[in-house]
Amino acid sequence: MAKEPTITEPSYISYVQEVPQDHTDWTELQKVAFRIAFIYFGLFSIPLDLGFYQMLINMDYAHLNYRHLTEIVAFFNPQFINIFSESGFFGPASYINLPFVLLIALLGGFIWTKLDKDRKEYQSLYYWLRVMARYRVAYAGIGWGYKKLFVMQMPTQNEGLWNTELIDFFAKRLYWEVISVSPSYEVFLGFAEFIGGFLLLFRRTTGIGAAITFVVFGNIAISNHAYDIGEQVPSAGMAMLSVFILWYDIPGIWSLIVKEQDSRIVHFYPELKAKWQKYTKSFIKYAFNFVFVFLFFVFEVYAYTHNDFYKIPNTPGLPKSRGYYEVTEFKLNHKILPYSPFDLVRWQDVTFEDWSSMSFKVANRPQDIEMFAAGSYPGKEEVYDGKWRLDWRGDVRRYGKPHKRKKRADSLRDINVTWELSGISGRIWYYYRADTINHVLYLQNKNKSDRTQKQVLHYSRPNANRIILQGTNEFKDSIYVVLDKSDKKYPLLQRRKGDSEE
Amino acid sequence: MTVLENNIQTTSWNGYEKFSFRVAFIFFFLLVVPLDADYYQQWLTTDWSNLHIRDIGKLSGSSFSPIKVQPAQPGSGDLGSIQDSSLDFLKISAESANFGIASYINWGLAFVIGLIGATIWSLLDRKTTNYRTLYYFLIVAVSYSMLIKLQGLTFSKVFPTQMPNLALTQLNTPLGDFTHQKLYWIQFSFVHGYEVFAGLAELLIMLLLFFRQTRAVGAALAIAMIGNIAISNHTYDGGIHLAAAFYALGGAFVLWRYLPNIWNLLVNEKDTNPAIYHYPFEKKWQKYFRLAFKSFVFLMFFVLSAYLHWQNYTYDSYKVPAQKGLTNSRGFYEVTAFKLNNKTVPYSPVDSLRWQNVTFEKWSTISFTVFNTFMIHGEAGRGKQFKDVDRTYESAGTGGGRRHFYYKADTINHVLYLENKNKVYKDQKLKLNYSRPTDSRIILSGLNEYQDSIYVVLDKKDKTYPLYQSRRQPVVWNP
Repeated sequence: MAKEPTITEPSYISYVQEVPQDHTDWTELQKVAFRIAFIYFGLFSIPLDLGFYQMLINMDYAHLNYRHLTEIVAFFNPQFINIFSESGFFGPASYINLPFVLLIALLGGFIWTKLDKDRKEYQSLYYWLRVMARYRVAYAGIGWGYKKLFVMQMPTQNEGLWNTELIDFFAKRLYWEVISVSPSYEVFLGFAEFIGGFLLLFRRTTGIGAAITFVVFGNIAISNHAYDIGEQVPSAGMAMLSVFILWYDIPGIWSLIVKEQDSRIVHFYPELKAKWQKYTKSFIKYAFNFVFVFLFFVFEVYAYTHNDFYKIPNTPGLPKSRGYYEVTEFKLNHKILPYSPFDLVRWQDVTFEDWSSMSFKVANRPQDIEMFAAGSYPGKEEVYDGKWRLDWRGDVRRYGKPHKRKKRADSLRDINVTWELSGISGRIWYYYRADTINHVLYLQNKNKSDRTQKQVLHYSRPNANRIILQGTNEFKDSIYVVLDKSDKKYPLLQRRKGDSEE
Repeated sequence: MTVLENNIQTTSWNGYEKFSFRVAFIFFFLLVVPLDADYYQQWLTTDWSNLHIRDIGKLSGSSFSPIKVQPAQPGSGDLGSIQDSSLDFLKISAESANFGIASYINWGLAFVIGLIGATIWSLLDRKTTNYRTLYYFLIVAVSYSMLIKLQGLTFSKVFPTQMPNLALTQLNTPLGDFTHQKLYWIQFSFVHGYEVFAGLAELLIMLLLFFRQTRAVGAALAIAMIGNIAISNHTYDGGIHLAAAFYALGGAFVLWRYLPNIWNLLVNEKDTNPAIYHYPFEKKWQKYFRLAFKSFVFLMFFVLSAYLHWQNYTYDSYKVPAQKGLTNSRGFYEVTAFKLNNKTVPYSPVDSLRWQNVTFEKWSTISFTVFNTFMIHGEAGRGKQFKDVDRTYESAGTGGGRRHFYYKADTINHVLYLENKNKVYKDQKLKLNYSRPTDSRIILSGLNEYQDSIYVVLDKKDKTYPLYQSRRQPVVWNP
């Protein structure tokens, strides 16, 4: 064993004195870099898309709920150029606005340098820029966190989903379902987003919060690319702002744990002298925190306890009908059709849910695939033309249809909650209104391409496991269908039970 | 002045610190140092001229597991590359032994041994004022154990073999027929970009842990990333939560002595003197030894491991059967005609004998569906199996009506010899004659698993695969 080294008297006292004082002049390079950075990160911290403000104006404030608050905090990034192409939706071209924002920052920085020659430093402005970036990322983290903490983003699964083959999922949807199958993991992911954002609200925990949001949002951005999720630009934007926030602390952390030297981070907090300044600051701070942290939370709790999950219909289905049904008998215009893998009409199996949705599978019927509500995969009208779309509203795919944001009649809520079929093929989904007195189901296809398809089916339930449907189908043919509930058990739900054949 | 006080390296530890250290030392010693002779023997018995990733996995350590946990299903206890030690004193089986708190029993045991050992140690050793040298080396040992045990997981993701491509059978199985564990793995299987990214993140952790200066950052990343994996293994019944939790625990241990400093600097916003002790390696032989050790670890567990995993990825992805399937047979087939004991059975999704559809893979696996409410293939599909019949990534963790068979093809007499891949039914062996009148038709005949004669006509069907075509437009689904 070697002799232990002797400890010499620390020589750093002089070092501490060398540390620059709070109000030293910045170098020319620092000043120019700051001016550019101020414009660049400033533009990313505030909503620029005019569509965002249009959305704010059109919002139904009388019925304000968590969905509105999510829309406000979750996505905004400067996006005046929209490219409709595979790369523009999923790949590098989706970042097309970043170099232009940088260009604006460079030009602005240049003009600013010309105009503001006498300035010695920008301590105070740097502080306020960090504040903007911090709150931007904080509210996004908290908002996305709530979405998962309250099991909204990847909501509970359903019978139809369990009976869809993997090839029939879009990549995004399959990834989503891998998470929703385990709500406790979703809650954990939500907590990671939430806590990073929450720590950013406080001055002293900013560094730790920014480190967490960087890891979390960076990871999300990469998974967005891998799984075609389509929100890579806002996520990458949050990761970028997190790095910017952390930038301040990085030299100190580096010096402390890598170089293992005496370390100091000089913090500058501007003093607000006038009373009105202090009050204004407190007011803004508490008002924003009240809305985007506290009120948001209250809304989420209310929605969670009042069955208002934005991706799940909330009209109750036929009582005790939930399940997977075999189609024991199927008559078309009074003629029995046997099971066949080539049939375009005969139902193969049927599912009922807790809510008023019914789905069935037809072995051989082509179908448009319902797209997600926003972002990711191209909708029918979003033709890949590779053109640059300049739009004053900004993100056209998000803000291009303001009418979509108007409140719909409550009765129209569930037909438009198309999460069950978004990004999945394989089954045909119907919304139904049940007349429980006359025992009639009024069904309407939920797929936006096939909304005209309607069925009116009389139902009877001779026993608990059998439903008989009879009436006209979507092609105006008469059908008679006997459904028997399957005793199928899903391996997915048979957790930790080991071997249990039959 | 606080800075000044912080700076003085406390050379004398107080009693509490010393006792805690003794416990930690024994605890981590047990977890990190392989205690079974088998492990050391492997260094001699390994065939160094024909190295395989199996060997490097075995050489990367063995876990402290004197108490063995019985797997719930045959094969589900396979931990993949990380090896259990051969020490075996007691077997337990409980529901929570697989996934819950009881699975940590060996850690509990190590901790109890640590407490007892530390008490004895405290009685014997009353002179030592501090253990900073020992502490330093314990941290090195934990860091190196972490990075060495991580190599298999890292490089089998960087070269995506840990979660290989989905098989056709998996693609044609409904979501509800998979177990939680399987779905979790599948997310890396249908898109490999994320798997490669995860592998690179693990490689970064390995590299950061390798160097003294970056060890704290590596430990923090290990907690964040592999701690996350540990949690996901708990919530998905993944089965390797213990292996993953070790990185979170080890990471926390390595990071521990940096934490007060980081807290002081970031949260308290005070000037901070790190005062971290490192063994100085002053003598020449110490320097050489250190260099030699580091070089050895780097060459063996970074360079060699990367090479072997690349080789495996390129030539014989270890979870995918190696034997090629019937030429040009890969595809999804409708069962157009099915005769049971010479009587035609019509298509029906609720028939438990009549096949509904069949898949042939690139490799020698065939699967067919019948109606069956629940028959789970309980293996985890992990591990580096020799034989194709044991390579069950494609079928493990699925239930429902799909059955998977390994086959040997006699292409001269046109016979397929099938063997059920589910270990529970490993006695099911079928012999089927085949003929291929056209490119897209296969006719099978012979005895099924119940010794009934069957005659099956298969017609290949082209399906739309939204999973792989979804970015293009427009996507109209053709079943």
